[in-house]
Amino acid sequence: MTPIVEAVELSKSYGDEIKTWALRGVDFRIDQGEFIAIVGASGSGKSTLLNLVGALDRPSAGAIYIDGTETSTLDDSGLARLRGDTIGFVFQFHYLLAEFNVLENAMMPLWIRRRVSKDDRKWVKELLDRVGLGGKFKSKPAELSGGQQQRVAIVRALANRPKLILADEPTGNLDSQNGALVFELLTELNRELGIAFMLVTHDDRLACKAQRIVAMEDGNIAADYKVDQVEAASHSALAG
Amino acid sequence: MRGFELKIAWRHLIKSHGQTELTVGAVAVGVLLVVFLSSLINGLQIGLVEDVVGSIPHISVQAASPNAKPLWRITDKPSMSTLEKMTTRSKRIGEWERMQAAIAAIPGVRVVAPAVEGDGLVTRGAMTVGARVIGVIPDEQIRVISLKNRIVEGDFTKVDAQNIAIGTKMADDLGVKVGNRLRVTSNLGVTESFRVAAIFDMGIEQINETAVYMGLEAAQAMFKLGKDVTNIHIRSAEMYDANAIANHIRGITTLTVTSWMESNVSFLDTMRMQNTAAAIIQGMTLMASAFGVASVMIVFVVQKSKDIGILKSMGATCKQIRRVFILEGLGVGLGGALLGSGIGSGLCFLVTSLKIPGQMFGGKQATIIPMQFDLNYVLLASVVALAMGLVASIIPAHRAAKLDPVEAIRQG
Repeated sequence: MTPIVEAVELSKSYGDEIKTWALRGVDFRIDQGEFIAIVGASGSGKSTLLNLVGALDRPSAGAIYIDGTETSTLDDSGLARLRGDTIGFVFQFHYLLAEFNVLENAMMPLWIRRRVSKDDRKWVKELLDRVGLGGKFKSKPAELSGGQQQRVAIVRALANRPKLILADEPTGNLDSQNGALVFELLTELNRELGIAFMLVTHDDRLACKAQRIVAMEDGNIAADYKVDQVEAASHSALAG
Repeated sequence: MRGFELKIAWRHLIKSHGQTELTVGAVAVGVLLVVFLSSLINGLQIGLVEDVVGSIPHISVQAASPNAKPLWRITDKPSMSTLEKMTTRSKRIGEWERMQAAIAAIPGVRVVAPAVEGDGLVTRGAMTVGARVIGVIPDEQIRVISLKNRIVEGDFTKVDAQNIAIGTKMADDLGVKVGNRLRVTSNLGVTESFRVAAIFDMGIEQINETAVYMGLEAAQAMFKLGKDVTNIHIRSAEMYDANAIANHIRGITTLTVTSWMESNVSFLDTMRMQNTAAAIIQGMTLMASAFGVASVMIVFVVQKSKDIGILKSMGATCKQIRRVFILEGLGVGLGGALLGSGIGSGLCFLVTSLKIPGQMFGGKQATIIPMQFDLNYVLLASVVALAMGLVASIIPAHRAAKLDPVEAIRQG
């Protein structure tokens, strides 16, 4: 099975005179339907990895293949189209456009990429129903609660039927109860739709609910393991 | 282009918390000024030109009156003698009917009428004033100069061998009304008595003070011209063709030909300068408006940078983002054009409806500000407004297009 994302010796540096390496030759892949949590301290390279995987940024060295396409072969417009077709983003803040209502915000990626068909509309409405916003199509973002806003942002990320959802601290701006609900929703959508999720989080309790955890440290992947192994390890530790 | 750009641009414009109103206002003020100032200058000039040109023929052909020249330049023989300037009596055009027919055949010529012009005196009782006596065929003269609306009292078509028309100033000076009698003496000493048939106001003091219109035959007799005339008056279909037609006439006659444009060079220069000054003022206002729009739009792009970043993360290309802001600029231009030309036109009509009773300008009832509205100014100003919106949006749109989505989102 071809991976959705494959990174080879991926490096990223910032600054011209004095180079700061945010990523130092990372090898990394994401397979279809995976649910990955990226953990690590601030400045460990989590967000940089997410930006590169999301084709928002270009690597300084190494290569990254997104859905089989090497990103360095694409110009800015090509990267934008690749993002639009393959990837959905959820950020810490909802970033809904204040001038548009819930349904319009959720449809935005479709508007950007193509003419919206009836099927597309139906799909987005179903998703909004699915996340419990069936009655809020006409509401403006400002009229929603934080959790509701983030759920609209999640639907928006799914509108284009992407293969991968990238979420940067998606619960970071929510209280723990709403955060848990949103996280729950993400795992459910991952199971129901078979879309891969890559999630950057500070919250270890949430991270433990992922299938796979990637721990970053100083621009390198310090650990990369499946959660059932961890659970097995922790159980064995407890048993021991 | 998909509907996306239009949707975003439109929402930005209608939900901008005052920025749209400000920028549309800035463009509207520019457009308003162009429409209003153009109409004002146009109205002023049409009035002035009408006052200057309306009372004189577009082109006048006169018997040649050469200045003194050394004889050798005429005969090619060495000589110390000079050919002196001809006397008044010898200034005449014989067989003028042939000349009239030849001029009438020139394209662009509307009316050709013979006239006799000479100096004289007008006397009433003990009062005597200087006069410029003009003998005309009234029905034709009415077509040569714009006498419509210029007759204050009486009937100009009654002008003949016994009836004359004089200006308002002369009528005031001599205290005469229509129906009173006056004595006119030519500079050749011929005196006749006439009845005042009409009083005119040509809009030019000098003409109102001295001009005396009488029948052609009466003037021919007063200046002892027999069947000859001194002038041929021409009206062209387009007054600004006068120079071209004058040159054409010079090709077929040795008589002195003068167009109104040649005899009013400084007047035309003044008009040209007025036009240039108006264009500069308009251009600067439009530039100021464009700068205003551009600066508001740049701030707007900064405010919206987070949204731009998120749109890019969703797959919006640089080109699409650029188009969004160019469309916004065009929208502002269009809004400004509609608002500005609407208010400008309304103001023009309002101002032209404010008349000054009893005063004439350009052969019409004078208004407080003379304005001549022209739909072309609205079209011009609107095209300029759209161009302004476009130009003003180029830099902001470029900035928006170049925003790095990672930076834009992080700073949000």
